[in-house]
Amino acid sequence: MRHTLCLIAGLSALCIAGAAAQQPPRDDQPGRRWSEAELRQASNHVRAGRKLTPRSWPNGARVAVALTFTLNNTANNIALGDSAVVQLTGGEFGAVAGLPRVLDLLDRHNVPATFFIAPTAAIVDPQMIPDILKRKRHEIGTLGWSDENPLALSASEEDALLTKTIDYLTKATGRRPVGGRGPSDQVSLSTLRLMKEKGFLYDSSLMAMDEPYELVLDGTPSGMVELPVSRYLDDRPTLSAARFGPSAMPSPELVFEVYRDDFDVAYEEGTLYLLTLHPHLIGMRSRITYLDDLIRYIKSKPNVWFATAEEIARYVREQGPKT
Amino acid sequence: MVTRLLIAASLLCVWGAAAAAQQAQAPARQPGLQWNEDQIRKVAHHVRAGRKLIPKSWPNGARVAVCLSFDPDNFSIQLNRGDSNPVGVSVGEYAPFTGIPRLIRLFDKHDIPISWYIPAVAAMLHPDMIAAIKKRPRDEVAIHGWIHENPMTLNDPEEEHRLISQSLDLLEKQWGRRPVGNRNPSWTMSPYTIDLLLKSGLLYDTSLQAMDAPHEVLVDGRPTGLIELPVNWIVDDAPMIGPTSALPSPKLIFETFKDDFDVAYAEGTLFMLTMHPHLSTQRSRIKYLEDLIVYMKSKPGVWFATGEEIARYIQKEFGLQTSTR
Repeated sequence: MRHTLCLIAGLSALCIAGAAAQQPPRDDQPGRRWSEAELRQASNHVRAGRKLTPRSWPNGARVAVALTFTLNNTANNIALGDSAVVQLTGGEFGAVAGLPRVLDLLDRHNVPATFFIAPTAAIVDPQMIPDILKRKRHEIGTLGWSDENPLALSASEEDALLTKTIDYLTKATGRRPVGGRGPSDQVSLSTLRLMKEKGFLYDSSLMAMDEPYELVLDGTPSGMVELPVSRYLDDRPTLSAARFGPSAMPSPELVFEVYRDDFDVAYEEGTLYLLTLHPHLIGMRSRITYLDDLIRYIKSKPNVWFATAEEIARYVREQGPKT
Repeated sequence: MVTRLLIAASLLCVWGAAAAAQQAQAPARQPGLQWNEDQIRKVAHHVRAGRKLIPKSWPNGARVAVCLSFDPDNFSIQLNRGDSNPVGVSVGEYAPFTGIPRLIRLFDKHDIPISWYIPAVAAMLHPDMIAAIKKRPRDEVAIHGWIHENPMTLNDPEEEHRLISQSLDLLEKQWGRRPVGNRNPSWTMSPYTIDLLLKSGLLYDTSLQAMDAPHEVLVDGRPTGLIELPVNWIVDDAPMIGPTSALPSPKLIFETFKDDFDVAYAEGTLFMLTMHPHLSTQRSRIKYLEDLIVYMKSKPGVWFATGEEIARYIQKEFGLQTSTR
């Protein structure tokens, strides 16, 4: 709707400007003139391939559960050169209050998780990585260099940043990362190709299905696993604080009802349940107990496999799909 | 014809300016303040609701007609913008890969037909959709733009006509029948659209919002015979239960849908629900859709039908014929 209004507004501006200056108006709907070949070309860079849900999960589990945390904190502010002090403390909350709370909760339930960390966030708060590694259960993956927007970068800029990111995390964790999430929740036309070239096992940024699938890059099956995210299972669209995010429904009770309903179908269908949470949002006092309740609920069901994204990606790649 | 086009073009500019006024930026012009009564009527009366078309009873004495409709836009909107962003493409692919198969399982189980309003390019890039729909003989395929374009900004009746014709041709080729219904993308029409739909031989439209009962469409005061099965943003999942929409609680939204149905049932008219196979089919939403279906089925005298079946019944009951001027 907003999009429509923008288009209409754009048109009327064109109407007026066109009459005044006789300049050819910019065509903001070029796709309607494209041939079938052009349409295919434009939409074929990154596509979903075959489903990779295995016949069964390890030890006969019915469903795989991945708790993933996006640790961007203030990284995106920094990428944008934004030094506004109060906003930076909002991100700092993720490191000094949210993450410790999340790690304690995971300890109490003795479940593994995956943390996608932007090196910039780790430079700002260097205690985070050692704190996560101390638990010896969790995985660390990439989130760009600084949660930057990859759509604004050239392929060579992205390549350089990815190399720098891998080097940083390898040094900080003692292990080369094998998976990543697109910074700023985006991937460019180059991001996944670069990840594949650098030997990544999986990505977790796309949403074509709610079960694991193979990524097809420029028409060729890549061998890389996609562990899809879901904006419905992401705390950012709903649980942000109103001034800093979309916060469509800042009621943890209603949001966690959605998370639970979603899990029920994942369990019934025997696929993957992957939550995308941010310690600076979910780690708030009014939210963390709902996460506690949700984990308790999931654990109350028999045959649930809590695993890191890496474990799940390795397993589905070894097993191959059920069909 | 030329005069009419000029009038339409000037209306379009005026409407465009009015819509621009809703944008927050610069305080927009408010040209309507200067219009005389004739000019006001000309703009507001171009397309209007005509007589209500509520039959004495629906087939087999049913009290209410229910049309459950889905718009598989996939990633046509972003492609029309010239945008190849992979995250957006993946969101659009949820419908063909996951949403539609899940939906068809549910509707097969309850033996209810679906009306599908499909942008032609979405069908072109995922032909599996209509292949699956064809296995459900009662389902209807109808047009929803060539590539979910915005005809208002095209401001080009010939281009718009070309896109409508191409869409009918492509869907006819895949489905095996020529569609008879239209839903305009984003429920946005140009001043030319209704005439073009009539020229293209369509039976009905489902994009307008003047009432919640079926009615005839008037163009410049003239009854056209075109049947309108009206829609409303309130009974559409897109503004509400997308992840960043106004109220992404499926429980609360489907409660609204149910309340809306209750009044449609009491008034004996039409319940037209607009959904999207990447929204209401999500794992956290599908059970609420099923609950709604079960609730409606629990009432006596509910006729689940496609837009086409409803429009054909109305056409026969009221002896309507579409006419171009």
